[in-house]
Amino acid sequence: MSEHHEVASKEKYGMVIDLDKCTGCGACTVSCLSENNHYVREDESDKLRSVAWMKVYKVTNGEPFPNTKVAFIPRPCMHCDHHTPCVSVCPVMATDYNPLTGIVSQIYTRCIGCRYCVGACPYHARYFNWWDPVWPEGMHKLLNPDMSPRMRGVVEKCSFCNHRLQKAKDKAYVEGRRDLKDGEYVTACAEACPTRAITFGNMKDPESAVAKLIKSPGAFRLLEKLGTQPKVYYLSNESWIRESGDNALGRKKTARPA
Amino acid sequence: MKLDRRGFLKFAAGGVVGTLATPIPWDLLDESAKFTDLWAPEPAKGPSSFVHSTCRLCPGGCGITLRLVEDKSGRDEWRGWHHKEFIQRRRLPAVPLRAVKIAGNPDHPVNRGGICPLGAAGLQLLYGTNRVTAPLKRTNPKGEGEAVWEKITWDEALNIVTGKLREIREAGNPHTVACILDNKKGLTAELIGRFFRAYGSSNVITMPSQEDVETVGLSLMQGTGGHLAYDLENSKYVLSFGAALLEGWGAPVHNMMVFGKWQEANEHTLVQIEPNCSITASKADKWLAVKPGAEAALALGMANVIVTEGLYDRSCIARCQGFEGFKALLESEYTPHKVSEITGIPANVIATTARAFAVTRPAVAVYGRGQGVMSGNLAEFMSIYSLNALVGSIGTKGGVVVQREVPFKAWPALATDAVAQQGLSQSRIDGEGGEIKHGVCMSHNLTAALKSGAVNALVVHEANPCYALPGAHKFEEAVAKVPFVLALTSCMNETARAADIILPVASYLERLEDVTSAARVPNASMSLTRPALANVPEARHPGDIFLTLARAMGGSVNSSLPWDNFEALLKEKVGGIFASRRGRIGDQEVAMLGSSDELWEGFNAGKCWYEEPVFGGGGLTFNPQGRTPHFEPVSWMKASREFPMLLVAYENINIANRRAVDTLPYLTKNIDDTVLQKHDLLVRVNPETAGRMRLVEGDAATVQCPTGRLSVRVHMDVGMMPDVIGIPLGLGHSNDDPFLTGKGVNAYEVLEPVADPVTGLAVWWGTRAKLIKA
Repeated sequence: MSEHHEVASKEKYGMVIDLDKCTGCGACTVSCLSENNHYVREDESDKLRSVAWMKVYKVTNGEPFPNTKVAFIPRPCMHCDHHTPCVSVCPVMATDYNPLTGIVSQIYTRCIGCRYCVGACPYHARYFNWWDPVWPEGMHKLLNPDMSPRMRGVVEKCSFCNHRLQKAKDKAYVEGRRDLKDGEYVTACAEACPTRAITFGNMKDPESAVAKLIKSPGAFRLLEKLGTQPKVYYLSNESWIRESGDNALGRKKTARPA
Repeated sequence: MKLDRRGFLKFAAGGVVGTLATPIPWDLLDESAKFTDLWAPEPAKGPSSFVHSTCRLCPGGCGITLRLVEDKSGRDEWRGWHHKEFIQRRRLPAVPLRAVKIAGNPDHPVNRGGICPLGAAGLQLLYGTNRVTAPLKRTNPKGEGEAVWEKITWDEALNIVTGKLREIREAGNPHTVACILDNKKGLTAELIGRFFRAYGSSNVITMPSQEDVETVGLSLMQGTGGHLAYDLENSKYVLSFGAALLEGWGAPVHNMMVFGKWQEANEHTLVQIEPNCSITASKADKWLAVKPGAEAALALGMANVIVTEGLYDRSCIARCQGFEGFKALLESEYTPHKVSEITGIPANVIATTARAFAVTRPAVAVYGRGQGVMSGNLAEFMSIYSLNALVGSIGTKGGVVVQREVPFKAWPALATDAVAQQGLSQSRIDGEGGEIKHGVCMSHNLTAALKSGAVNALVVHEANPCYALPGAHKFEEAVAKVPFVLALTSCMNETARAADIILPVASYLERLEDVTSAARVPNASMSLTRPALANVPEARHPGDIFLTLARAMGGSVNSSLPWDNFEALLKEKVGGIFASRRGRIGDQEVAMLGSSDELWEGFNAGKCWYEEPVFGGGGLTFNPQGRTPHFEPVSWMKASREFPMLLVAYENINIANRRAVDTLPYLTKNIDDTVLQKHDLLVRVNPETAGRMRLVEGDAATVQCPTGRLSVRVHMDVGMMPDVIGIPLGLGHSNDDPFLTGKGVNAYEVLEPVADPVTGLAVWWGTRAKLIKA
């Protein structure tokens, strides 16, 4: 279902996250939560129930004291380019690969809550709403008008802040342009990142920052062996971090979740 | 037809099977799911606007951009036949606004568009469930169960407060009134200090901070006041003695921005010196796992190598005093071998690091412990700070600098009457120092002062000492003994709950206030927080509250504070910046501006005034007043049979711990389940140590300390030093926040400070402990 690549388009959006810069502060997560109207449960300390589209995983090199090191892997939706697993399994077309932008969408009102996609996603990037979203009295005022909150019974995931793309395009059209400039459309996480570890942009534009960064020698993607061709790239000069990106868990002793 | 038992059962079973074969039960299930679904609220649409403001949730002072949307929540007028009316309403000039997003301001020099998780979650403070929405009066006596609050009007509240203050003053005891502030930066804090001095009390005391010991150290060694800053951006070799550079120390976003640039330039070295594997240690080029508390010894060991090998900066040393004595001390006491024994760092590592530090210029040694609330002793500060003189980094680019003061217009002379003068002549309740008298606040002495009955009224302004003072539970008991407690706060917290009167204060997004020079950043700067909206209309600006109180008090208090409101004061003060003709606002030179009003307009457009630091080689005195840098172990560093382990506090950027802001709900999603699991706090313990106690991951345990006990769970962390327990600060709240209350335990309760005999200041970062399997 995701083999629409032949469509002529000048855009394909992707993200590059420099793990050597990332300090795991979680500003990306909070910025995403705020941008995308997430509610907060009183029991967020129970991680089985916690939802965050941009989740920051902590990994360690597993070396004993004092050679231990930790690193962080922020994980948005990978917006897989090839055989997008969730799109392949969705029975109701609630999630779709947009051949014009490369963005994998999630249409909440179509979702029937079968959670097939949750199981299919190799990146745990999808979350099911088991409960009604609740905002405490007065807190609903901070809801972003560009984004609809999700109801109970549907699956949700990172959209690469698709509403920001629409806004940027509207603005460009008003100004008589058809193409966006690099940096005109960025996700909330990339905008927030204090170390500037996250870069977002059009991978098909050879002049864009992301197009240049994905060619760096330290670039890799998560679970590349699955052939899903994620559009989220990671950079690191440390081999143990790069290895942890390809399910080294169990095979090698050097990287594991912290 | 007669229905027997067998027939009935047959009929019932057949009925059940038959019903299941129909869609009825499945439809019912489906319908009930839909029927009970609350659905999600639909955010009201409306035109957006953006306001530039400044964050003051930590001493970082980042520039923020607030996205505002017309507030139509709860109404439906933008649909159907109401649409016309909606269009008309849009043209009305004054529309209620709601804030939907906080992002970093790319034009602000401190953060250049980045933001930290706490700053990004700021709207949850604005719209928080525990905002104080009206002045509150306690109706039941203190100490008799939970407080019962009654809403009162501002007039009533201010009458009670002025009545109380006047009564104490008329009895000739103005010095028995004390005020606790979070910090003394900014005009509001200065105004409050001035109010109390005019009233007759010098007891305006700030919460503990690392800056306390730095202030004393700096005045001794360099004879200067002011805030210490580090030019990390231009430094090529940074030796950090435990400062959580990437986890919230100083101006967090600024430091992270600098770190991002370091990673790109690839010509900076960061060496992190701290006992346990922190994020900063992991991200550093080199991590030296020093024994807890032995940082000073390591610094002196490095100084020994630099001095004996002649690698020190001779021109800087020529500007210093006491070098010969320092050199002799280093050579006799702090050889790499001796230091190696104290610190656990091999002698050759000490030597190679010291050499690299000395030959790479500019280099800087950063004194710090975590985010900056915990503190070591004076000798430790002096030992680490001395390294900067050896590499010629005092007052230089890429070294340490003292922040210049923002050139605000000076305060007019204080009017004091006889009562005030008599009150000011009394000594401060927290003492004036130890062997050295310095006048820096010593909040750890407050508990004893309150217990002794020396305080008749306590005013707490935007601080939470009942939670966040080391030895918090004892302070809470002491507060219960104070006859009158007034809390000024925007959110309900532990201290407000112990008060008699609570006054609601506007949050930083609702008030106009100055935010001066970001902590540890070399540049002087000033930008404003701006009243973008009013979520709690009853809440007032704290500056205005004190100006109103001053008017009500009359006399010299009133004549010392003649401003109509805080804005008038701020505008007058900004005139000083214009008169100085220093620095830039936005991209404009102040010297090129035509009038002070133009500058004021710039500030109100959300621009930041900014001034480059003035560099110039400086020196210091190694042995001021006969005090030399040396290693002086703290009492809890000594192993004991009863308490074989050391409990060390650490901080997490997602657990708010500086200033009177609590961890906001969004951040609770970021707190790892190796820190907090459901309601249990996890302490970090090395697996080997845990194994000896037969503890495995997630086991319940008790941390027994000489000062108390805490119930925790165990997280096995290979990055922890053996026999050390790491505990996060900032959890275990008992405020009325459903997202926080009852989660984890409060480490402040067992971390009781000891007084540094030289300065009298609090030394606190750990305590002896024993881990018992529960």
